[in-house]
Amino acid sequence: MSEHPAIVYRMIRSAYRWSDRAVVQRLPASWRERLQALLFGVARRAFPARISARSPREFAAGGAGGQPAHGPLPEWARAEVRALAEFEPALAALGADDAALEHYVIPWDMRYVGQRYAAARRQLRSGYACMLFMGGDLDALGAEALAACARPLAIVDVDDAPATAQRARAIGADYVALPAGDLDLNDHCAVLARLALQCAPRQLLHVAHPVLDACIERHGLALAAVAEVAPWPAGADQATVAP
Amino acid sequence: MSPEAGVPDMISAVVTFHRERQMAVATLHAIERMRRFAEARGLQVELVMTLDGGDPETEAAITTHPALRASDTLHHVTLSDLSLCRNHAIEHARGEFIAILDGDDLFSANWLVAAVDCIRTRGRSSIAHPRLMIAFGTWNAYWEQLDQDDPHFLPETLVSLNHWNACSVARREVFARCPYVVARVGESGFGFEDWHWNCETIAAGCVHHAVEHTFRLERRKAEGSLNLAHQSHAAIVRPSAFFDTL
Repeated sequence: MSEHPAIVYRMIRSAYRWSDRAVVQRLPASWRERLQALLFGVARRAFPARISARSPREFAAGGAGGQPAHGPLPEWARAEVRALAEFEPALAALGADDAALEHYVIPWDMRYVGQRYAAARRQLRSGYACMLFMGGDLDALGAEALAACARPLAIVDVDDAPATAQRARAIGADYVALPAGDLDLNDHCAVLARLALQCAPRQLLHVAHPVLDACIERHGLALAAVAEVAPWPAGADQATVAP
Repeated sequence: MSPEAGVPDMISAVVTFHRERQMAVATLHAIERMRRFAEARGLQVELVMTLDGGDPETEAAITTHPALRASDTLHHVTLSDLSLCRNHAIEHARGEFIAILDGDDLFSANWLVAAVDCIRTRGRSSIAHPRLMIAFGTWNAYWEQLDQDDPHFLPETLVSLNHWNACSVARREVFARCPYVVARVGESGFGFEDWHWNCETIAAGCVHHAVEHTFRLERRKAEGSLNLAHQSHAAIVRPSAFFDTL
């Protein structure tokens, strides 16, 4: 990030922290949650590289930087920890000192990954003979090779090229666009893999593409448990991909 | 596992050991503390332990521990998998309730009693988890687990987040219906057996509850933990019927 956007980011972060203390925390819970979700959505879109928080709850707990909050352990728990320190001396400090223990906030409201997966899953079914993970131009894959793909066929497009959906349906394939959007690479790979694991096609073909290569490198071993995994075109290299 | 309902008012504490060495001593003391608390309230607790490819030091720490009783059992196995160890122990468990405990963790004294109270109150398909998780060791932190009935619980978040740790108590029929599935992460690419079990149990109609005023102390290690193995292998949760319901 260049110097100017960094200054803007710090100014907005300061404003957010002030408004959180002065306004948001005084609102009824339902209003507070809605406002925090709105602010989180805006912050993620405006500063995607700076917001490490994964949910409104995590964002609100840590301020605009998304760092975990600190808070005291409840007294009943502290008393129990002190009692257990009799058996495990490493616990003595935790029962005595608030600063020794971080209050970690689980992002229970981290919805965007699950929503992206669920939206894609609802467009597909199970029992595919072939699932094609692709990016770029579908026509570039070659009409003959596409025609040779086993049916029923599902096409998962990580680039969401405008003509691909229409072309895919024209060849009788089910189609879902799954571009990165607001997913980072890990989440994008996980959603793609989850989709294939749940659909469990007989064969999973994947074109050369940075996202798909990363997905197969990370999850190829697991994917091979449900499908024959091979690079596109199917005949070029039939070796099952396993990291 | 026998199909019967199990011995009434008995909790079978399934404890999985591997190479915990002296850490097993503290765990067994903490379990004995829970057992005495439970016995004072009319519940029986049996320990059904597995030692999976363990070392002599861990075995000695378990077998010479003063908390062990004649009715407790230790099964020597070479399964190299936490899920299969739990299933093996559950097969040999006699209790009406099954509690899943790890061999290097500690627990609030009231955990087993409060969990059974929760299940009796909330229904046969309830699964109880501690409300608080406290990590200690290489990371000192605490966090809360959410109740599935809480309006803040959003099912789609289970795609990217495991809401409940393996530490759980449920009626034995829950474990008969939904056994753990093998998760040898290095061999399969699959992992997070507790996350998968949580998904499968929800798909089977169970409801996960976080029990107030209870905690599990989870030991965080610099190396050798299953969590670290999952991360290094980019493990992913096995397919589950739950993910088709979203």
